[in-house]
Amino acid sequence: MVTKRRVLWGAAAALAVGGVVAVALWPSTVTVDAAPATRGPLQVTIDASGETRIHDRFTVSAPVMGRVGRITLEPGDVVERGVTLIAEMTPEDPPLLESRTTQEAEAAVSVARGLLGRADAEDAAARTALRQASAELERAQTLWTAGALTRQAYEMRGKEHAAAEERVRAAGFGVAPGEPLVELGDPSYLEVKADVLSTDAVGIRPGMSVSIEQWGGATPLRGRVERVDPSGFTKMSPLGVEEQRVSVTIDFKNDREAWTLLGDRFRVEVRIAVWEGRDVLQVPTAALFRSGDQRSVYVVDDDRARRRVIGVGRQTPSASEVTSGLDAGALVVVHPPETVTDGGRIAVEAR
Amino acid sequence: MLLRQMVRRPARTALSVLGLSAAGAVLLIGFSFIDIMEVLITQQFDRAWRQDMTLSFTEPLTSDVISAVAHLPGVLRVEPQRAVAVRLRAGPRHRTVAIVGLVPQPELQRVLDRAGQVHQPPGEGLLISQALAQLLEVVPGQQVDADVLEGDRRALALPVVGVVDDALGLQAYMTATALSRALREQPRVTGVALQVDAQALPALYARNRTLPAVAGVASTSAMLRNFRALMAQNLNVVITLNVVFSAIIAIGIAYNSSRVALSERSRDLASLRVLGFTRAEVSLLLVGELLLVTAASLPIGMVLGQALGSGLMQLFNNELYRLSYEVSWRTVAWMALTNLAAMLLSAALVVRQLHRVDLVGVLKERE
Repeated sequence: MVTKRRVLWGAAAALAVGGVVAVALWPSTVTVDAAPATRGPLQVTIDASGETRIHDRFTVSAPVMGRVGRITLEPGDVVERGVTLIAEMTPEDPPLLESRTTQEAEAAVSVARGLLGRADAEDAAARTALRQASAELERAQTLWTAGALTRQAYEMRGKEHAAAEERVRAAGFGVAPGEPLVELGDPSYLEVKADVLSTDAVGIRPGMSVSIEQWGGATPLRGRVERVDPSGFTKMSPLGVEEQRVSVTIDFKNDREAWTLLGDRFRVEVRIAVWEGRDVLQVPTAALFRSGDQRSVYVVDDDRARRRVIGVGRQTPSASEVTSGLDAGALVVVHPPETVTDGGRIAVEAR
Repeated sequence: MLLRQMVRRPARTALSVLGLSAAGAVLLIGFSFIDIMEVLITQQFDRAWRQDMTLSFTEPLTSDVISAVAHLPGVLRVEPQRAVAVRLRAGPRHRTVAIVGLVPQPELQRVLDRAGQVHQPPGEGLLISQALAQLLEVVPGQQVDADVLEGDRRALALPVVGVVDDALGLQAYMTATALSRALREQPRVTGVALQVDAQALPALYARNRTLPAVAGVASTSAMLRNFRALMAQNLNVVITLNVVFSAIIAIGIAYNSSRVALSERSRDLASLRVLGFTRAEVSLLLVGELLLVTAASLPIGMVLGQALGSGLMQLFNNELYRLSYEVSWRTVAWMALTNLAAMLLSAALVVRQLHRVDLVGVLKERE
């Protein structure tokens, strides 16, 4: 009797101590986040900042030397062919003469007188040439007004410094031939120009679809790659190193109504879809880790983590294509902590 | 007979239990630092900061930098941040902090409270640390004035829309979009959190240090390693001290009480031996008391340690860090085992003395 009780006591004590030892040595459980491998669309994009541009810009410049009267057009005004007066030009006033210049002029006069005889001989020929020239001038002027304004309704934007100078010289200002006066363009015919890295440009083809985002509107706009420039240029990256960039031109695919408030040289973000799959087995990119040269994930197997080597195809910041080693529906550990081990205990955090 | 002695001297038994409980509590607090740090590490490094690398820039850059960073070799994911130094004012109280603008629903740099709950940066107004809310004496719904300490030094009035009971620092969060709107400027980036292919990490680390626009590169794993090393250094000292002290207390009390019992009852015990009880049976009578006292002290020590520890944590917590007092069952088990070991050691000492007792001499002695 006594022996039996003693055995019972001993067993109870051993059990208690054994329990405590078990708790002390119990392997710890790591709490993890998990997400399933899914099948669905996957899109690889090249993202860049871009700027809207009026497709065709026309610069109206001074055809001859002279004075330009006040330009009353404001940026945004509509110009109409044959109706809108852009600028009036008058001849420049001659400079004042001082004595030296006078003498020079008088000398020139006497030389000229000497030459007058010879000139008289060419007079007839010159008159003919003059008639011809004035006819040409007239035609050229008509062409100038009409030629630049090939569209029915142009809005226009003035040269920035022109607006400033007007205030200083209220009467107008002198211009040399070829000096730009106003720029005209059709803002309903916009395109986007984005500069991408040359290494990215290699993967971009005309016709690829583009999502135009962060332009200020609520929903992204659709676009299409129109042209990838054949030559690149060097640009300073925001990180302070030089890099080679290539301009990509993108056309809007939406109707004009969708982006009517976008103007010239507005900032947008573009995402060029360089690869698209409709039915792609994928896992969150955050689930991937390296084991040696191999890409692996931890698959949730009840309360254990199992390392699984997988083949990785296309990658985006959020999801990666799985080419081998995993089936759809498998739960994988996202952002696996360093404390997770193959076969180790895990508890999946309820989302 | 075992219990009789204990019940007869309730005060002494109680004191023994209390003494051993105190030893257990001291030990528990010492051990619990490991738990506290592990919980902090899990929360901060595994669950809140999930990036592999963090870059900070020399000045606020335009958002072009996001795609520039994304193109660095090995970068899998980029999450931009905008930090701006402000002086938050509420009445006469103020604190200089950084408002951190995060992306909505960040994946890498997340905001977690001490319970592990994820908080999202608000699109309107501020989400601030509870400690900051207490310092400024504001509650959600109230406004704080924010004097921006850079750029055009704008003065903003921002509503506090949420409070997060977080562990580190005095933080203020909102979405980067809301922050740049409040600052009346284009979206700008002062730092990025990166998820990086582990293979490319060393090369990327080296490269990033050479970039002119990058002021600082922090690798999360290196940070964690340093943190662990620092903690191990400090904690080992604390834990060793605690173990040594509590062992001295435990052994002292256990040995003393059983030694006293031995002196008091050596006559009884000797009689029992003479009557035919074996050495083991007599030893158990003596040690059994010690065993019961130790067993009784364990739960009390646990509760005491828990109460003392959380009280201590309250005093420790400050603007820099706020730790939760955490004790795992594993720690409790280690505490129990250590105390049991101390008990067994003193029991062994006493039993040895018991066996040395001169039976005849003791029995002849007159009372």
